[in-house]
Amino acid sequence: MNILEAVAENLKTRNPTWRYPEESVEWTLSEIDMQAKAYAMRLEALAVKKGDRVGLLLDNCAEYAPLLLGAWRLNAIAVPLRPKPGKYFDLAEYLCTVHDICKFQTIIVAADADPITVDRCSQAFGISFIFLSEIFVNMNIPMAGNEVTCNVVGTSILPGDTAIIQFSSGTTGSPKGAVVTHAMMIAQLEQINRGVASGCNGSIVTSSASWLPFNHDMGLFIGLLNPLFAGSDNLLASPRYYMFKPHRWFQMMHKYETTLHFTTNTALSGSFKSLSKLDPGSLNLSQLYVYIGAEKVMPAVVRSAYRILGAFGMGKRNLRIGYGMAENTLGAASTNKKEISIRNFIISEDGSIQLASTASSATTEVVAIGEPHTGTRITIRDDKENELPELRLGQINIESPCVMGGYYQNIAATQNSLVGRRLKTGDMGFFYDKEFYYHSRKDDLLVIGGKNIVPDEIEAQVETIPFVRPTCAVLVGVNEPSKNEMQLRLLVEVKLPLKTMFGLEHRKQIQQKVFESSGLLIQSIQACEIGSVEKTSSGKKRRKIIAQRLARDEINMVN
Amino acid sequence: MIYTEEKNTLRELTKLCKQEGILEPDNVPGFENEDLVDSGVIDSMGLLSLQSMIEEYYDVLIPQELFIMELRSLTSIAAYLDTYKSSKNQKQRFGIA
Repeated sequence: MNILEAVAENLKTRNPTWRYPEESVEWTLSEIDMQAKAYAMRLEALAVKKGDRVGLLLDNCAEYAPLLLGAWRLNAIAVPLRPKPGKYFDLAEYLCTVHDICKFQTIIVAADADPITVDRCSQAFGISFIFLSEIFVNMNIPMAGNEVTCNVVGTSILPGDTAIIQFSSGTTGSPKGAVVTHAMMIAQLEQINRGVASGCNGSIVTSSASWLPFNHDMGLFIGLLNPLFAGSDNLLASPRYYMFKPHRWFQMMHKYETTLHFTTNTALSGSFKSLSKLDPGSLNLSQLYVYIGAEKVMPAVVRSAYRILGAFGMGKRNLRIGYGMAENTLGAASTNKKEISIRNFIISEDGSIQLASTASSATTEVVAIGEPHTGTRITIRDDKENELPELRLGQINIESPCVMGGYYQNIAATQNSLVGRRLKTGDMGFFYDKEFYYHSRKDDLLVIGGKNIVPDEIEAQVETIPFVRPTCAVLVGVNEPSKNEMQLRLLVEVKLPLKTMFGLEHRKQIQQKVFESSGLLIQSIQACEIGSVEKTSSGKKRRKIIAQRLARDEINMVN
Repeated sequence: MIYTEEKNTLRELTKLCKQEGILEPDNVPGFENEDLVDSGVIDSMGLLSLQSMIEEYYDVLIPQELFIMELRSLTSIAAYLDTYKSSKNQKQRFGIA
């Protein structure tokens, strides 16, 4: 089976509704399918054929799903791209790098795309960028009644054909494209639905909701592909629409009886204040299953979610953790127990771990990322690739039908990440009582004076201080050549009025908070301009890049 | 009188810190008023060393948090030690344990 066949199969039995409240659009699956046919004809007229790369430089929008299906009807390869520049994210440079790797046949852009970037890239690549608003200009779509009569029925898709290249903006700064075949896509979608059925009390996905960016693996699979595959109703928006009023989103999920929603630790944490404004009786979220993924999940966020979402009838059983990455198509593990396991461990410098019965200054509280999905094998390995037993810290490795064959046109990166079909994730973790625990990114882990420091944990503490906004603190290690050692530097993004006042008293409070929770004294704490704590499209902090900018003195500090 | 005592404690404290390797031997004059955390002199380990040294030489255990929130320079630590000594002397004079 491929995704086009899954859609055709679903259309025989149901015609689910897809809603885009941001655009005031409601389409049935059959309408989406009809538009997909029209897009297929348009792309064919643009000479797109099997194996061609079609870039999608678009924010979350209603046209995304039909465009993907349209491209696949031609057996072309969809390449979702980060659509907007950032303070430190040069979109044109990113596009040039990605084009060098995968040589686009065409790129479809939003009507409001930055014209300078479009012009610059269009000239450099020697290809036309097609504006979404102009895609059907001067084109007659053959219609029979209300139906598009499409003669593009799809070049036959083989399981090993490439469906998507998932480009990460990359913590190292150089984008790498994970190749996802149609077989991997279907294997992942089957895993998601089996995982939901198993982890969510036999629940099936009848109504899904997502605001995650479609150019990110979780947004693409949960927002678009799984609803197409499962034939569920779907509620979609952009990250901006969600973050503006998170409580509005939960009201909509109540209204449309959403059963499945994926979010991130940061987004959920940032939504609690907005949700607390609602009258508990105004929402019934008892049917909703919420998965938290894409980032390290903090115990405090799980507890707050139990309390705040629990007030709307969502049981503890309905909160789940998901773990995965684009290199494994998406998910590899998720919560399968009745409740998310949160335990205290003593993690020694040599990587040995002990379960602690109570919390103390020597313990670290860690949230379990769950059990491997059926058909997935997860192992913890040392630097020599040896498998480690339970309660030993090592690199998380994944073997599954969803593991990529490699990065597109990047042999060196592929060789670094794959041993045969086993994926070395670059994540550090351990195994205990049938579940896996994520500790840190291997690249992010800081070792100072023999002590392992996990930046996420320190930042989470700092972000509980009232004057520090969620996601606005970052801890990095910067090499100090004069001292021949690494120095910890904590940056806090500030805006007015704090921008003009940030000083010793604020630094002291941060130092005190970090010291209380971790016994660590951070000497260098600086306030910086908004946008300095750079993030990936999924909201992960780009610590390596931030550290490089700090070392080069490229961050705009305040005060 | 207090001024002189403070000066003496400060001088003694500075000397001890240099002796114990907490401060560099060539710290410039005026350094006594510098913020020890901001200037990078005291890190997590340095904090522990400073606390242990003061406990050993002055028989007073200063909570580490106090070094972070208040006693951030040698001058402020010396003043704290003087206040502590003077309050201890008074208690002894009035027979309070």
